[in-house]
Amino acid sequence: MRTCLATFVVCGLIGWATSLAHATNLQVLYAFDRTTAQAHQEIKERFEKENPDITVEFLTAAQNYEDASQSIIRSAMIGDLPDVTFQGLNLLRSLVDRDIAVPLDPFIVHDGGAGKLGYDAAMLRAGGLNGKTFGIPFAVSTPLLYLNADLVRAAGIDINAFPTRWQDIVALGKKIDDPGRNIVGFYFQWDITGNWMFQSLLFANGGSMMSPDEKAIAFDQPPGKAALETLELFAKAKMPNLPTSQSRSAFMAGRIGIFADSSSNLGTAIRQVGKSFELRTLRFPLGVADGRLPAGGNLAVMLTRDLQKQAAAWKYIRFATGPVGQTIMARHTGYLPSNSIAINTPELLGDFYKANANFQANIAQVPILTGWYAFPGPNAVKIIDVIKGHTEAVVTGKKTADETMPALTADVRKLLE
Amino acid sequence: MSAVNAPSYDASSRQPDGIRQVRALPRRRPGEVFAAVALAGPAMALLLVLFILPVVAIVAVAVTDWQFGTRSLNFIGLANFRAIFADDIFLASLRNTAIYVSIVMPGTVLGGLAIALLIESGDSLRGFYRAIHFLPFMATLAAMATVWEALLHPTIGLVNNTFAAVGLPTANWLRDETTVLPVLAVIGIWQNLGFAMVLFLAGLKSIPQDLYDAADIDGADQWLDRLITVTLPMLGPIAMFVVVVVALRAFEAFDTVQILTQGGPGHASELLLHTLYRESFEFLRAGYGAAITVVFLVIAITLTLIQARLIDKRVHYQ
Amino acid sequence: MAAISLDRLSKRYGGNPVLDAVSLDIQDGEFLTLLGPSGCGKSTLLRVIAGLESQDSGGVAIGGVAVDGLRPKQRDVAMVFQSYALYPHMTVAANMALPLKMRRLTLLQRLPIVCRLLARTRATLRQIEEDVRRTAAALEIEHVLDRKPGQLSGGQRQRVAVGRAMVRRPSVFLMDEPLSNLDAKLRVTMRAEIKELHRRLGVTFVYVTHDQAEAMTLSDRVAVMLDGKLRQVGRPLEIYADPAERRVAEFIGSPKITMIEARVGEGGQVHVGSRLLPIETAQPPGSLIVLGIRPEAFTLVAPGAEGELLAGRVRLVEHLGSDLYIHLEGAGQAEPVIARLDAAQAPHIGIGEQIHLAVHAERMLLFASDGRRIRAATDRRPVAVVSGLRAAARAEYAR
Repeated sequence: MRTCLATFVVCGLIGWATSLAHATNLQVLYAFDRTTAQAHQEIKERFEKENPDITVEFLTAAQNYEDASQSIIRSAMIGDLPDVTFQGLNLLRSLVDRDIAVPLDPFIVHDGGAGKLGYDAAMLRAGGLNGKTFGIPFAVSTPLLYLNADLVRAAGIDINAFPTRWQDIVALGKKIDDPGRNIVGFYFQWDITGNWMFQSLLFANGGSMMSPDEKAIAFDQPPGKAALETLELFAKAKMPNLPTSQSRSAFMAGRIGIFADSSSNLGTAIRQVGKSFELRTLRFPLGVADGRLPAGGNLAVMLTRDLQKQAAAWKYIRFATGPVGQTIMARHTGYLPSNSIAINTPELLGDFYKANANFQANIAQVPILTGWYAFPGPNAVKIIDVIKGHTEAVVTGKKTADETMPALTADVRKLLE
Repeated sequence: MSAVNAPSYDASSRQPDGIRQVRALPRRRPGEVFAAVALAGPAMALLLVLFILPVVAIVAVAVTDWQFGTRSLNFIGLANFRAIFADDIFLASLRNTAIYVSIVMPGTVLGGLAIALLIESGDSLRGFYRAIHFLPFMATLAAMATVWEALLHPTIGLVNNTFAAVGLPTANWLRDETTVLPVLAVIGIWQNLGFAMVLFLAGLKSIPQDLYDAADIDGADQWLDRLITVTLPMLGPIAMFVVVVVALRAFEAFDTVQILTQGGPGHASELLLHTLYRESFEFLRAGYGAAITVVFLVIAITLTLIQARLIDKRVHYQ
Repeated sequence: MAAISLDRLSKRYGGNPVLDAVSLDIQDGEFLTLLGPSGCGKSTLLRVIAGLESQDSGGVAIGGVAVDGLRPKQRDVAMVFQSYALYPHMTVAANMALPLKMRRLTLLQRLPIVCRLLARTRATLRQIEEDVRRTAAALEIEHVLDRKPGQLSGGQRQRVAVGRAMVRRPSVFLMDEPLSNLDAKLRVTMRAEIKELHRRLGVTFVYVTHDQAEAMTLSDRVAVMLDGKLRQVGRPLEIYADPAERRVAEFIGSPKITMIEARVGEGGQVHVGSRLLPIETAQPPGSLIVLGIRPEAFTLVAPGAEGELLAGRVRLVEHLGSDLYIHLEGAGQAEPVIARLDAAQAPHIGIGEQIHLAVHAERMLLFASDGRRIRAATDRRPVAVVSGLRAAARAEYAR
C-alpha cells in the first residue's frame, strides 16, 4: 500500500515538473459579451495550435469593462494579476496611473515596428498615454444608427433620403410609433457605460470634455449644451427608459424602428435578425461637418512582469491583434478590427466587408474616431457616474438641459479638485 | 481545601483586639490560567481579527485619501466626512435607507407575528405552513432577486399581468422612481418574514397555557382580549429581539439593490450599504467609502443601543 | 343558588378514558374536595366544571342551570391555579382588577386613552379600584398592590391569586392544588386561611388536591377519584373510617393501612395464617379476603396474649416526637406492617426485636378479593352515609 502511494506521488511530481518545464500558461481576462467570448475562444484555439508550448486560460469573464477593471486593480493589490487583459478603452488610464500596465513599445519595435505588424497609427494613439503605448486596440466600436427598414418604409419614409438631424429623426420615430403593437419608433441607448453616447453627441457637435491641457472643463460650451438639448428632445418625445438587455432584444425582435446603439452589437444583430426583417445601418448624425466620434471597445494590455511570461504574452497579444486574430474577431462580432492588414486583405476581411454592406457605415466612421475620454485624477470613475446621473435626469424628462448644465459642471468641477 | 482556614466563630479564636481570623485566598494554579487562555483564546482572537481590527482599519482609512489599489495615501483629517455630508447622493442614500427600514421593520415584525398567530391557532398542516413561510429566508437572496426581476418585468412579468387581469394599476416597478423603493421594501419584507415568524412561534410556545385559562375565566376570551392581555405582553422579550434583528437586517440590505436596480433610477433606490460599496470598489475612492462605513457603523450601533434601552424597560421576564 | 350537579361526565384523550361517567351533586355553600393521585382525572373534572375543557358526554349544571355550552366567563366561577397564573406584566392591583374590568367595561371603554376621557368609565374604574382595595385589605396584601408578581413571595402570590378570584364575588370557587407550590409550614398556615375564607364567604368551594391532610382538614365532603371514576363521596371521617373499597382505604391514611390476607373458613370464620379471628363474614368458605388495619388500631401485647394477631421483627423505628411508628417485617406478609404505638414505649423497642401486635375486631376493615368492602356479620355499624348520590348509585354503595 505504501509503495503504491509513493509511486503515485512520484509519478504525479514528474508529470507536474514536466508540464512546468514545457508549457507556459497564460491567464487572460476579458469582459463578457456573448459574441466576444466566441471570438476569444476561436483565437485561443488557433493560437494554441500554432504555439503548442503555450496554453491560454480564460478567467471567468467580467460583466462589463468596469467590473473587469476593478477586478484587475484588486488582483494587483494581492499580487495575483492575470497576464493579459482586454481593458475598456476609457479605463486604460486607471491601469497606467497605478503602474499596472506594461509598455509595449519595446516588443513592437523588436518585431519590426507598427507598420509591419499592421497597426494603424491612429489606432495606436488610442492606446497611448504619457508617450508610451500601453495597449493595442483589439476590438473597436463606433456609435451607429440601426434601422428596421421594414418598419421605416411602412411609415412611408425613404431610407435613401434619411434625415441627418436629430429633430427630424425623432419626428420620424414618432411616425413609426405604434403602442398597440408594442412598437417603439425611436430609441437612443443613452446609458452605455462610460458616458459613451453622451460623448458621441458631444464630439459629433465638435466639442470635447476638457480643454487640451486638461485644466478646464470644456463640455459646458455650446457643443455640450447642444448635446444635452438633444437628450432633452428625446425626453420630450416621450422616449421610454429601457436597459440595454431589453432594448437590444426588442430591436432584434423587430419592435424598434430606429435604434441608436454601439456597433459592437452589429454581429449579433445580423445573426439574430436573419431574414425576419431588413436590417440597415447608417452613420451617426454629426452636428458639425468636422465632428468626431469616440472609439468604443477594448485594447489588449500586458500585465505580467515575469520575463518568460512576457515573451509568451506578447506572442499572444500580437496574434490576437494581428491579421488572423482580428479577422476572427471581426467575423464573430460587429467590432471593427484595428489591423489594417486584415481590413485590406481580400481573403481576410476585405471581401467580407464588401459583401456585408451593413458594416460600411461602421468602417466609414473610422477616420473620424478619437479617444474615449477618461477624466484625470482619482475620481474618474465617480465622475462617470455623476455625468450619468445628470444625463439620466434629462433623458427621462425630470430636468431641462438648461438647469442641468450648471449643476453638472459644478459637480464635475468639485470632483476634479 | 485543607490549606484554607475556615473562619471560626467561637470566642477562643479571636485575637485579643477582636479581629476575627480571615480566610486566606487560594492561589490560582498555573493550569487554571492556561486553561482559561486556551478556552477563551480562539474566540478572542477571532473577535480581534474579524471585528476589532477591521473596524480600527476602517476608521484609519476614513481619515486618509487612499485610492483603492494605489500604494500611497495621505492623512486628510475629516475632509472625507465633510465631503459626504455635502454630497447629494449620500444624503439621498441616507434618506432612502431610513425610509426602507421604516417600511421593512414594522412590516416584517407585524407580518411575522400575524403569521405566527395564525399558524398557532390552526390545527392542521402547521408544519407545512411553517416550512413555506420560512423558505424565502433560507433561499439565497441573489438568486431570488433574479426571480423577482422576472416577476416585475413591465410587460411579461407575472405581477403586472396579474394586476392587469384583476384591474389593479400596473407600473414599471423597478424603473419608476416612486415605486422602486417600496417595491424593494416589499421584497425585503418577503424575505425576512419567515425569520420573524419562527422566532415568534418559539415565543408563543413558551407562553404557559395557564395564563390563557386564567384569562378565559377572567373574561378575556375574545381573540383581541387574549392578544392584548396575555399574548403580546408575554412576547415582550422575543419582540424586542426580533425588532432589533430585523431592523439591522433591513439596514444592511444590499443584494436586491445591486442586482435589481443598481441604485437607480436616478438614485431613488440607493441604499447606504450599496453606496458604500460603489464608492469603495467601483469608484475606487476607498477613503471616502471608509467614511461612509464609519457613518454606517455609528448608525447601526446607535440603533441597537436605543432599542435595547427603550424596550428593555418594558420587557417582562418571569 | 350555586349547587353544582354533574351527570355522567365522560371524557377520553385519545384512547384513554380520563373521566368515566362521573356523577356528583355538590351542594350550595359546600366545601368539596376532589382527592386522588396524579393522573386520576380530578384536574380535568375541575376544568370541565370551569368550562376550560368540554366533556365528551354528560352534563354540568350550576345553580340548576345547564352550563354545557357556556364559556367560562359566563358560568360565574372563579379559579385559583396551581401555578397561580398571575399576569406577570401587570401589577397586583391590575391583576385583581382585570376580571372586573372585563365584566363592567366594553372593549372601547378599556382602551388606554379612552378610559380616561369618558366620565362614566372613570367612575366605573374608581369603583373597581375600591373593590380591589377592599379585597386586598381582607387578604392583607394591600401593601403589595403596586408590585409585580415577580417581586412577591410564594405566599403573597397565592393570596393575589385568591384575591383575583374573590374580587368577582363568584358563586363557585374552584381551586386546583393551590397549596402545592408552597413550603410545608406555609401550607399549614394557608390551609387554615382557606378554611376561614370559606367560612366567611359561604360560597361553594370545589378543591382539587392529592394531599389527604388538606382534604381531611378543609372539606365538608371528600370525593375520592381513582382512574377517572368517583370511588367514594362522603365526609372526611367516613372516608377514613368507612372506606367503600380497598383502594380508597389504601389512598387515605398516612402511614399506609396494613393489608393482611385471610381465608374464609367453614361457617364464615376468618383465618389469618393459623389464627382464628373473632369475626364472621357472609363470604363463601374457601374464598380469600383481605383485612385492612390502620396503624393506630394495633396494640402491643406480650407473646401469646389473648387477641394476638401477628408477630414480627422490627425493621424500622420512626419516632416523630409525638408518635412512634414501628415497621414490622415477617409475620407472613409481603410488605412491612406499620403500627403506631405509644411514644412512651420507644425506649423498649429496638431494631431486630420480635414484637407481638393485637387488633380489636371492630377496627378491622374487610375487603373482598376484588377490592369491595364487605361487612363482617358482627359489624353493627350503620351503612356509611354517602350523601349526594343519585338513588341508583346509592344502591351500589349500600352493600
